[in-house]
Amino acid sequence: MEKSGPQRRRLAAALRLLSVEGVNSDGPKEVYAEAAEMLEEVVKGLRKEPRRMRRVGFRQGKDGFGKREFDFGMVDLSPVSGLANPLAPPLRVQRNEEKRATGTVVYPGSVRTGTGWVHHGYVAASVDEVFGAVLAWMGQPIMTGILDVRFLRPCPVEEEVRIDGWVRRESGGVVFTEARVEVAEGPVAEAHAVFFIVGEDQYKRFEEQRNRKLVAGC
Amino acid sequence: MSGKPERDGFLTERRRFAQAVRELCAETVACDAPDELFREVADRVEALVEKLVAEPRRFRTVASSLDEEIRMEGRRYHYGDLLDFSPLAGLANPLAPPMSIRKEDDTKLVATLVFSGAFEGGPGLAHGGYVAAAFDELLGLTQSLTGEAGMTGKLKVRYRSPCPLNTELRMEGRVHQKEGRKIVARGTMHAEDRLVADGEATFVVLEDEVYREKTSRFGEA
Repeated sequence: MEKSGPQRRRLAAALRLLSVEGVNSDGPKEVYAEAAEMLEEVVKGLRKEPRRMRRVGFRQGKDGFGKREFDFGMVDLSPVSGLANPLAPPLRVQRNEEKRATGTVVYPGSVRTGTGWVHHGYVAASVDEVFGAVLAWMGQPIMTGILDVRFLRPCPVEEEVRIDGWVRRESGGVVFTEARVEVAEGPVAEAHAVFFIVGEDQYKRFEEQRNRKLVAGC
Repeated sequence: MSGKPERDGFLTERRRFAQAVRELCAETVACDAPDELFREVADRVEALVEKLVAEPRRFRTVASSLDEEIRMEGRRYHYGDLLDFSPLAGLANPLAPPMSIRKEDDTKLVATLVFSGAFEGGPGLAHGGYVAAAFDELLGLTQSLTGEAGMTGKLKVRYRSPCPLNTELRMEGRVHQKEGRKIVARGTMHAEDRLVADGEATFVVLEDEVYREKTSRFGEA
């Protein structure tokens, strides 16, 4: 299975830092104008390159996720945990045992709100991602049905946050999960969610539709 | 920063810069360039980071941006931070999709946004976590229409149908209830006529002192 190249990850890491500087720095406007011009040229160049067709594979793997080996689009390019996606903080997810996973993340200043704390939406997104890893043991694609997060205290930026997720119960094609979010000072949030098994046929249809749109240039 | 920066030029260039970074983030995920090209781009971006790191730090009070669209008379808000540099709505934050938000009436906000391919979860679909994040943003701004500043206490999102990428999504948020220090806001997200998700959030209004304490560690309050 093809992996994302190391330089894509390096670029993602650099863009992550650039995003932080885009929010935290306060130089003269000319600096940003000049930078924007350079970046716009770079974007033009990259747009001439072929589009990435998503590779999908659900197979017995050795990547620590159990039955299902994720394609790189699901892991390396995830907007939450992907090292090759500049939007990702990134969250590091580890599956501890069957039906449980732990994520750790240090949120950068670029996801800070006006109050100075991490945007609660990013905490919710990270919880959703950990649940995805928890459910990897099922070996089938799943989709979030309900995500319910209770915030107990503000979440600090630039400090390690730990998210533990687990399966509470399973009933037919529906799985109920729970999670706890903590920092050194104590709990930040509790969450529970409901996930539905999508089925590989449906997942493949999404995949085909996505690639058709890419080929059509939309 | 002392005093207010020159508003128009400041925000125009910051927004343009953020948009360029945003597009580059999207291309990093969307294109299939050879590693050598990614290396060249990474070299240039790293050099740019070094340059910006040498600039002064931005304090919390900066020019506001969208108050022409939302004027809440909030004595405690710095709109620039809430909106322009927000990681969801902010035109000046490269991570933001971003969101265009307008006030429809005294209890209702309407927003539009497009998730690029960088937000992909399932194939061709927006990551459910970012859908939740968009609700947190919109409902958080919606609750502030009451004139109070609250923090999210509870957020519940029900996903009704897959959320497409590269498609305009329309969101609505409305103040549902205000009782003591609790404000409840509800909202929906549609792709054309199709309901993608609905959400409800409960916000806890902060006392002035608590708000000041929470924000003071980040610079000028």
